[in-house]
This record gives sequence, structure tokens and C-alpha cells, in this order.
Amino acid sequence: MAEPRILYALAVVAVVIAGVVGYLAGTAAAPAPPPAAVRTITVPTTITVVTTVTTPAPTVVAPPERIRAAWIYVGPIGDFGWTYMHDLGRRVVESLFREWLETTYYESVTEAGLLSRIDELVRAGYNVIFTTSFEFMEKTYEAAKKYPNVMFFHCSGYMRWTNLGTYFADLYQVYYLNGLIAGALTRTGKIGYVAAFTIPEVIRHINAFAIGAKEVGEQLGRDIEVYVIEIGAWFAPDKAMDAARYLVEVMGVDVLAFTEDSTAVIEYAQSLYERGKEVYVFSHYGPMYEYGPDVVVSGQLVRWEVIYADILVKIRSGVLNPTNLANVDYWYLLNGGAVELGAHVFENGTVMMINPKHAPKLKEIAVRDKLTGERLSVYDLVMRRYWQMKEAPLLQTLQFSALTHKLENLTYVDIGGKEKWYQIAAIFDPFVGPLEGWCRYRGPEAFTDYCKRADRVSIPSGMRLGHFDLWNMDWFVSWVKYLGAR
Amino acid sequence: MVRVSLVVTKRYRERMITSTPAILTVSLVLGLVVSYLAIWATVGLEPASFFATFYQTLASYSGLLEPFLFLTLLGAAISVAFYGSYWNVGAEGQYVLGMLGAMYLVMFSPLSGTLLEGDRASAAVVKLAAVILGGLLGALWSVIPGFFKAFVRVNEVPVLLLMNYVAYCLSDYLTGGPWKGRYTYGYIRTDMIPEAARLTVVPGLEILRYEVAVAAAAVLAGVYLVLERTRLGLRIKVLGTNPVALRSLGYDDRTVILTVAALSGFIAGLAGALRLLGYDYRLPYNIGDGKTGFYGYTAILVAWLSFRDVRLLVPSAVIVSALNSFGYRMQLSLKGLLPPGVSAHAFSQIFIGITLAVYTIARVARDHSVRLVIER
Repeated sequence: MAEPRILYALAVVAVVIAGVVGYLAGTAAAPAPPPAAVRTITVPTTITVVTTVTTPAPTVVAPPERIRAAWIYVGPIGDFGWTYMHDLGRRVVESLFREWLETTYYESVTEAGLLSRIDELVRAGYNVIFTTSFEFMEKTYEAAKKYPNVMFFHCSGYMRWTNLGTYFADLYQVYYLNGLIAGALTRTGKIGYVAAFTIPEVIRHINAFAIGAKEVGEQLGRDIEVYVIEIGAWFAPDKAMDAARYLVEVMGVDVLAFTEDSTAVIEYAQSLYERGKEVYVFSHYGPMYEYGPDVVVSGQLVRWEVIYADILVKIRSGVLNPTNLANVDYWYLLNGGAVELGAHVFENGTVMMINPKHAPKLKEIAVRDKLTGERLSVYDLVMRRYWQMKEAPLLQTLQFSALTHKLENLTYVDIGGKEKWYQIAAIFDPFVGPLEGWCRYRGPEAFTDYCKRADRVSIPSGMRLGHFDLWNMDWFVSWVKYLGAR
Repeated sequence: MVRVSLVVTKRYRERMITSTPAILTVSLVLGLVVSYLAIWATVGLEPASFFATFYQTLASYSGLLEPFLFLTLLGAAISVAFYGSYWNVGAEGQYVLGMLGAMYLVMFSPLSGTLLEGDRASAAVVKLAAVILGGLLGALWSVIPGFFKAFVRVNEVPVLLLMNYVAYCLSDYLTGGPWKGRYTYGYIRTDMIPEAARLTVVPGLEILRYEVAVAAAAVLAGVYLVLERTRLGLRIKVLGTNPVALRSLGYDDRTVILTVAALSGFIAGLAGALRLLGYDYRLPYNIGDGKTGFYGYTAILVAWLSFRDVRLLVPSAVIVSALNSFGYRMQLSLKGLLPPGVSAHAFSQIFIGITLAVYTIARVARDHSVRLVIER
């Protein structure tokens, strides 16, 4: 019976050692007390003062000396798509603002685990938290109410609070540009789209892509149809590849685009190419060109750092604080540089907009610019549209706040005098009528008035959709065929 | 010719339980040291940060509470089964079935209408019914492999494992089809359950739900009483150690197998129902992609660490949930040290694995004498 006693003795010694080491280490490396700013922003007190005192004392909200920001990702940072690009944004701001910014992140977090992760971060002293998945919206909102002194920013949602802002960089203009190329390259007129979910964001992207494809494809005598498969997951390489295979083998598409956070669809297209079948594909979110150098034509890139830098500078300088985020709703497009046309970033940092392998083909195909009637190559048309959408001198300011989104589709405002028309938005936008569509969601399930009232959508000629029509888009243009979820 | 053999003999101990907590502690400490060394050798993390993180994990008990309660419940479910040598690796599926049962009752059953009327008493009845239905569905899910074991003599382990995937598929079918939410902004998932159907948040300790704490305590007490104080408990234990004896005593071992399967599944289903009503509030699509937290699998570790002793379930659940939470926290400590793109999660798994391995070795070494015999 000696052995258990020895074990006991060992255990006691070990516990003592562990305790002492743990305590010493704990006190040595415990996080410093929360930054001074967190203590000076006393939100509830401020509100009480304002409501009870007749002549309100000026409230001083000191900007934080140091910002500790944390990112909570839905996928792995190695996905090479969505999460990878968010993390790239984090790394840019971490390096740029290292004098006053410290960052960290959690990856592959589920909705069910979100609140625990937020609790841990707040306890560890993080005062700015970014949650980067639509699925996190309700739980982020809950956390924001629980921690009124912490600033939360949720990517892609619409629920806001005094200390919870929202942000998004949207790709629809870039998808439209990709669509122009797709319309030129398809031989069959059949184009495939692998969609994660048919939420408004993805519907908007599919529509923009389809509009671009039709604009060019029609002129080349092709009857454009875009087939959509919904896979029900943001990161599911196997499902994305299965869907792509179905689109190619059963539906006979020869161009693919997708919304899924991995490189699976590109790798599939590249494998087809190596077996002698050419299917073009557009890279999504990250610079995925290297996974399919023969088949990737172009794609969409995002620069979350543009938004992250803006948010963090505004926090550091006291513009944003936990009392005033309720109307902070970034919606950045090509004009602000938060998104980019391309599939590859060269070592010197410049973007490869169109794969040089496919550029000559696009320079040979001639089409007409529907705005001017001029004849030009598809390549030039893409570049022309790109610059038309990039040029919007005043738009970025309007894209910052929920209060000014309604002004975003004003191409010009009348300022009187001899100048009269002042340009606000880009002079071109893909979502201008006439457009015919059908409702993906109907009646009480719909988000727009169009689909709440009817099953079909008809946008009159010359009408330009506004921010909320785009944000809530619940209908497909008529040449998009939804093949269901699989 | 030389024959080398390992002779392992089980030692006899009258009160084997006594030194198990010591072994738990030793393996925790050893696991901590060895995994620190492993991490230090690969990326060079300084000890202060590593041990401080562990200290903080244990110190922030409220962060451990939620996984702890669910791992206790599921650990109890699995332990009961292990007593009867019913190797319930299907708690994950039974847990999902419990969620489905609760979801059905509060959202789609005739009873769901009463939740909207705002009457607290009737809401409590509906919640109780939801939890019981969840438990019953969990029991059903466990009884099916139990039936094959009892009557067809099919090993339950592969059947139970496969049933987990069937449960995932069933949940995804419902979530993507008949139960698909209307107010999900186009997402594939169910709507949230009404406020009245949610469990009670404990003020000041927002991570806790009264009902879950009560259920965990009741289940632990119940399982202990059944096993230690009832004939059924005795029969379960005999089934686990010597089913032939059970038969020769005149009992139908098939009934005992079905009972133990049902009991185990009921507790797992109960945990699932509580999870849905207390924390998740809705069913996600692709639930098998880790959206359950894989608690049903993690709890196998809890049951295993407790080595079929109900009293040890609580410390085992503390340890496993602390290891899990520590794993997440390590991601924060390791972040700056890893090259971009390398996941810190892998490193946290090293710690969990080493601790459990040390524990197993210590446990086997204590209960068995191992001799190396070389014969010429």
C-alpha cells in the first residue's frame, strides 16, 4: 500500500509547485489594468448627467491611449478567402498602428461558442472587438448590451447599438466586371455559380455578375443563363467542388463563379484544364490565381484594412466611442478602394486585374458600349466601367453612416448656379432599369417591397436601385436559374 | 529461442477509488509541464505566459461554467452506459435529437401556441415538456442500437457512431426544409425560439441558466442513487462486468441493455434540449460542422477520466472544460509566435492529449503490475 501514498505525496508537492508557479506567473504576466480610456468612458453616468441637469456640463470622452482590438473569425485564417482577407486586414493595421494598437484573434469560432470567446477577450482587456460573420449578429448584439464600454463592430449585419457598429465591403460592382468577361468567354452561354447561401449579399453578387454577362454575351449572340446552386455553408470545399462538378457535367456550363471561402472551385477548374477541358473561373475574395493559373481569368479582391484603418483611427482620435456607434454602418465599394478587381497580387503589391494569358482574347472581342454606342474591345469595356465606378468624389462619406445611405444612388445633385449638376455617385451602376426578375423570397419571407407585394420584379427603364434595394435584394434577374440547395 | 512477453496483471485493491484524485492531479501537472516543453521546443513560448494563461483559465470560473455543466450532463449519460458496458459513443447524436425534440415542441407543436400568451406558468410547463420530449427522443436514438445489441448481437459502437451522422442529417433536413426559418434574412437555419421558451438567465452570472444547473445536480444525484442504491443499478453493474452471471441469476440481460441504453440516451437528449432552450435558441444548418461544439464526443473523455465513478464526474468535467477553454486561450498567447497561417488550435490539442495520455498511463500503472518476462 506504499504506492498510493507516494502518489499522494507527489500530488501534494506537484499541486504546491503548480500553485506557486501559477500564482507567480499569473501576477507577473497578468494583463495590465484596463487602458485608461476604458475607465474614462463612463457611459451611464454621462447619460444621467444629461437628463437630470438643466444646463448639461460638456461631457469629455477621452480617446483611448492604447487600443486592444480582437477579431473573431468564423473560418480558419488559412482559408485563402474571407477569413484570410480579414486577417490580412488585421495584420496591416497591427503593423501600421503598432505605436498604439495591439491585436489578437480567434479563428474557426461557431455561433454557439461566440459569447464565451467574447467573455474571454473582454476579461483579457480587449476594448474593440470585430466579429466577422453574419451568423454572429444576434450574439454580438447580446454581447454589446452586456459590455457597454467595449466597442463592437459586426461585419455584414444590420443590428446596431450605441456600442455596436456595422461594416461591409461589397463586391457587386466587381462581380459585374467579372460578368462582362464571363459573357465574352462563354461559348455555350451557360454560366455556373456556386453560392454559399442565397442571402441578399450573394443574390446581389449573382445578379450583378449575370447583368454583366448578359450585357456582353447578348451582343455576341449568346443566350446567357446563370445556374445557381446553394451549398448552405461558407466554408465547405467538398460541397463547393461537388456543386461545381454538377454545374459542369450536368448543366454544361463553361464559366464558373462562386461565393465560398476556399479555393476548391478553382482547383476543380484547373484539374479540368489539365484533363483537356477548359472552364473559366473567377477568384473570390482572396488572390487565388496561383491555384488555377490557366483557368482563373479575374476575380474579386477585398481590402478590409481600408475599413479597419478608418475605424481604428476614428477610435484613437475620439471620433468613435462606445456611445455613438448606432449609425455607424460602413458600406464601401470600388470608389473607396475597399474592393478591387483582380485575382492576384504581385510581390511589389500591384494587382493583376486580368490574367495576361486571357487578356489577348478579351482584346480581340469587340462589343458596343451601351451608354455611348461606341465600339471597343471587351478588355477596354471592363477598364472603362472600372474607372466609371471608381470615380465618385463624394460617395465615400455617404457610405459611412446608416443616415446617409439613402443618398448613395444620386448620380448628380442640383446645386444651382452655372455649375448646376454636381456628381455624387459613380456615373455607371449595373443596377439600372430596365430589369426583369423573379422573387427568391416571397410574401412575409421577402425583404423588399417588390417581393412582399408580388412574385415578379420589374425595374422601370432608367431607374437606379438605391442602397436599401441592393442591401435587401431578394430577387434574381430573370436569366438566373436557381437549382436549389444541395 | 528467446520469448519476450509483457505480463499485465490486475492488482487487487479494496478501495481503489482513494488515489484516483491524486492521479488526476499528477497527470494534470505532468501534462502541463510536458506540453509546455513541447510548445517551448517548437515556438519558444516563455513559461510565464503559458502558466499565467492556465492560471487565468482556472481563475475565470464563470467561463468554464457553461461547458462544465453540459459536459457533466453528457458525461453522466455516457458513464451510466459504461457501467453496463454499453459503449455509448452516440451521445452526440442523442444530444442533437434532444435539440430537435425541444425545437419541435416550442416551435411547431400544438403546445407552441401557449408560449405566445405570455403566461409564465404555462410557459414553464411547455419548457418542461420540451426538455422531456428531447430526453425521450435521445432515449429512442440510443435504444435503436441497444435493440440491435440485445436482440441481434450487433456490436453497438459502430451503430451508435453512424447514428450520430443520421442525427446530423436529420437535423439538416429539417433546418433546410420544413423548419427553415422565415426571418433569417435568406440564411438556411431555423427562426429563433420565442423569448418565453428560453431558460432563465441568472442575474450577475449571465452564462448560467438556473434550469441547467438544477438539471445537472439532479442528474448526478439520480444517477448515483440509481447505481448505488437500487436493484436496477446493481443489475446494470453486473451486466457491465459479467453478463453471464446476470443471465444465470434469472434476469433477462436484454431488458437491462435496453434500460441502460434508454437511460443514457435520455440524459443526453435532455442535455440537448437544455442547450437549445438555454443557449442556442435555434438550429444551425450543417450542424455536423462542429456547431454542437462536439460536446457529445468530448464528454466521452469526461466519462473515461472518471473511470466509471459517478463521484469523479464533476472533477473530470472541470478538467476537460478547463483544458478546452485553455486551448482557446492559448490561441491568444501563441498568436504572435506562430508564422501567419498556422493555427494555434493544434498546439492546444497537444496539451489535452498529453494530459489524458499521462492519466491513462498512471491509471493503468496503478491498477496493474506490468512485468517484462524473458524466456529462453
